[in-house]
Amino acid sequence: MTEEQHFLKIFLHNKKGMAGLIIVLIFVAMGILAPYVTPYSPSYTNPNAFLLPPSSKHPFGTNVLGQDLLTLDFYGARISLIVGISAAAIAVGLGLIVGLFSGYYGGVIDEILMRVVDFFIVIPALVFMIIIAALLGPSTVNVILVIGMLSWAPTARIIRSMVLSIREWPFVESAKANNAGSLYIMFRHIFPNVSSVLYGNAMLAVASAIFTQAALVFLGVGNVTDISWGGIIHEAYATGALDAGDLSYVIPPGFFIFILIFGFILIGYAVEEILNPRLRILKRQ
Amino acid sequence: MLEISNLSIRYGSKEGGVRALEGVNLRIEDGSIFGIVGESGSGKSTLAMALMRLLPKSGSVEGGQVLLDGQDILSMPDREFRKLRGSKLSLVFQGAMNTLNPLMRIDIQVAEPLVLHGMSEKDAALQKAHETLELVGLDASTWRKYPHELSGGMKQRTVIASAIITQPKVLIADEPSTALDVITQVQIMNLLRSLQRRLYMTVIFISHDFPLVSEMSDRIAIMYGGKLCETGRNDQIMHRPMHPYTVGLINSVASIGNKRKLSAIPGDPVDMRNPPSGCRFRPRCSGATEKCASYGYAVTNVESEHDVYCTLYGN
Amino acid sequence: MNEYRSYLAKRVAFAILSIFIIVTFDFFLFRLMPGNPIEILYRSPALTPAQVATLNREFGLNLPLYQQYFLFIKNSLTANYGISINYRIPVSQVLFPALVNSLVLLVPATVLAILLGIVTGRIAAWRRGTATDGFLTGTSMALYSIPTFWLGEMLILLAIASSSLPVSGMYTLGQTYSNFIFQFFDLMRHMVLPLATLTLVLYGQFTIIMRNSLIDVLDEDYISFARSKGATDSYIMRRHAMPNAELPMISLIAVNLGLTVGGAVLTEVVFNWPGVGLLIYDSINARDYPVLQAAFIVVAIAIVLANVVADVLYSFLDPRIRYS
Repeated sequence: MTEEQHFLKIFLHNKKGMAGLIIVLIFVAMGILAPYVTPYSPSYTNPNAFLLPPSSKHPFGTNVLGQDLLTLDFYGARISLIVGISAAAIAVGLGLIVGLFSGYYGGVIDEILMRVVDFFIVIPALVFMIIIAALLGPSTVNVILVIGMLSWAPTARIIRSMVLSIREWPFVESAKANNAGSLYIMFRHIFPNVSSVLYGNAMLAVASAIFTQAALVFLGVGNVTDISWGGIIHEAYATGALDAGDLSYVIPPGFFIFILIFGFILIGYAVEEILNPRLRILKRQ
Repeated sequence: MLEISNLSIRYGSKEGGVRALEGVNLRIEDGSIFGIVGESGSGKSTLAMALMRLLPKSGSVEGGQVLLDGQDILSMPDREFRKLRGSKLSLVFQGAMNTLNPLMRIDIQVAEPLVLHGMSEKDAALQKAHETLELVGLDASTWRKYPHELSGGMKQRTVIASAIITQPKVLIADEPSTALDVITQVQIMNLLRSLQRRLYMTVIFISHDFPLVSEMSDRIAIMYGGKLCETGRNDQIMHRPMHPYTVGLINSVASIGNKRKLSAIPGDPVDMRNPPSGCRFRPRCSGATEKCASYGYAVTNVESEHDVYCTLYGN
Repeated sequence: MNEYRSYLAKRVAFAILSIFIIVTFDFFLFRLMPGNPIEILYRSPALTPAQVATLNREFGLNLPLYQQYFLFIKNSLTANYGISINYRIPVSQVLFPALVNSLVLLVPATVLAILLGIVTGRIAAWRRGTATDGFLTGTSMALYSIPTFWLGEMLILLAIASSSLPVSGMYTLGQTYSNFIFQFFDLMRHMVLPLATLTLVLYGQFTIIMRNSLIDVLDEDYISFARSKGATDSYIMRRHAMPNAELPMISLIAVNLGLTVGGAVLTEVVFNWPGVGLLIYDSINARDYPVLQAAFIVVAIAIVLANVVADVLYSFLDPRIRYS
């Protein structure tokens, strides 16, 4: 059994991890199946039926344009997942490369890269993103890029600290002795040993990207034309539906963001728990 | 006098767990050095932790008792026992590297037992800690330092100082020198011996290092797989070893001027999750017979103070 | 001792370098963007000719870019951030009162969240594996997952439904106060909901950090060593485990300050709290770029300085750094 299969086996027995996985899969299904299960088209507007309270025709009521909120809430899963996963992929990819290079080469390269990492960890990312997103103009791709480019530092730091110890292992030494190229050693020998940590980290990165995307759209600097949960909440806030106490407008989208993030956090925490045996709860024998 | 009778310790549950210690009987006289030898998994450290009542949560006493001056220390309430732990009964930990709190000055850590047991006020305890550090060979320049500023040997001396500051009756030293280099090891051993004489302590010296134990101890117990093999006076064990495991241990040790051929004990250490029936040493023993598979560990007194647990002797 | 000094010197040097990079980045971000928003705005009719003249003199808008850059650095360090397009007064007069309002909310919320996190993290670690631990860890992860703005809105819905607490601003609009105590009381009432929101979202991460750090520490040999001396559980917690577990908390709190500020921005917007976060939000909508530019510098520098303070505090508490 390879290390990854072994890891997977433990993961499948971890309650938190499985709960998180099920949550995430439900939302994936929600996003994919949205056109088949929702009662209306997301672009269908009805000026005569705006801000309706919940009814059997519109379980969550309608928005200012008379769109069915239940339909929009289902479609909203798409943007959250797409932005969350793509931004996290950029962040984790960048973090992996920086971490591998920094840890493998050490010395001056490491020193410089780590100061850059320190810098990116310290700066107030959300404030940064708000301003850049506002200047770049609203588009989903911009939001993905901004989140991805500003979220890689924690991953780089973790990967680097792992690489520092792995590069001393005998098999890396012997690969060097056999004149294997640095890139080959990094990706062929070192990467497989940091991959499980990377998965846990990637889950947390997705969670944080989903939150950031929703926050940016809520603040009105993301793409408000695409259907997203943050956008629905923004709309409810901007049109005064919140102050009017319109529960079915505000509660479902926020609740979905919350649960989806919770799902990814649970998976990430489970991975961390499996990798750090001290955190694993001792089974009462 | 410390009397251990029929002591058994288990880790984990009845079905899935491990019986780390089984039917151990020892009598340890006051003011002597009692050596316990065994390889890892022999139960020697479990014994130390059981005597201190510091077993991990999964460990439990299955049976037996330990009498310290006639008082049963295993059955007394926690609160009562805590008064003895670190005052009458002290432990020198194995591995000097992380035994000290990195955020606390060493003299404060040495003084802690006095304060914890209400034996002196803070200032007096600190004064006494300085005297004790002096006694274990650390001069005034080190007293107010933090652990990371000390060498391994100095840290181990600090740990010893903290264990003897209350002048305990019994000092348990579990691999007190294992992590140190050879020269420092000798210094620590000499220190322990001189402290033992000076303070008239009972020292229980636990190690995997047979020559070291034989050099230090008045009496020796040899353990294998959680059970006793042989106990006796130092000269009895060294000159008239009875148990095949003891014989194997002596033969595997090189000593200067000894021309005998070295021989390692064949086979692997016992798997405690799945121990063999009868005698635990049976699979590695050249003299094993059918009798050994159903052996019930009856003790045979081969001479005064010399006991052996083996089917080759007695019935 | 010398190494300790060079450690501190290194941290301070890094902070200065960071501030320099932040200012540089800020300058080019707002100037190289499509259409150079700063230049366009400073020539806009919203400002009086006198104001435009002052700006031209102080920021050298007709000079080459590199000379503008040096002027910008000089002006930033002397807190001269130009004139707000929206408010038509110097940016610093808008920004610094907002910064004070932000701190009024942020500091108590962070302190409260850390204290709560330490208490519950300690309980969870001590009872690891029990139902108590499961509950505390579970709620912490849930609170960590809740979107800040949504939690704020849920509290607003509750407050509106029960018409119990004000949900917007720092003070009641148009209210005059006969004395300081009434004003303070009004502030407290307005603070309840935003403070609760920010504290709750920050609380979760501190609990989990504290718990995991304490679990690591409780496995250390020096804990068993203290126990072998006859120490009680509560003594071991107080004297040995907590100091060692709190140490990594300090650096994590500092590192997470960026996140904390993000949470504060959202909370301010939801509750209309007149801090820097709300100012940034309003400035984006009003395209008030001078304010944005300045807000970014001020927030980033505040965080860098907070990290220097944390480094000094850490080194003061950890003898391994202090005496090496």
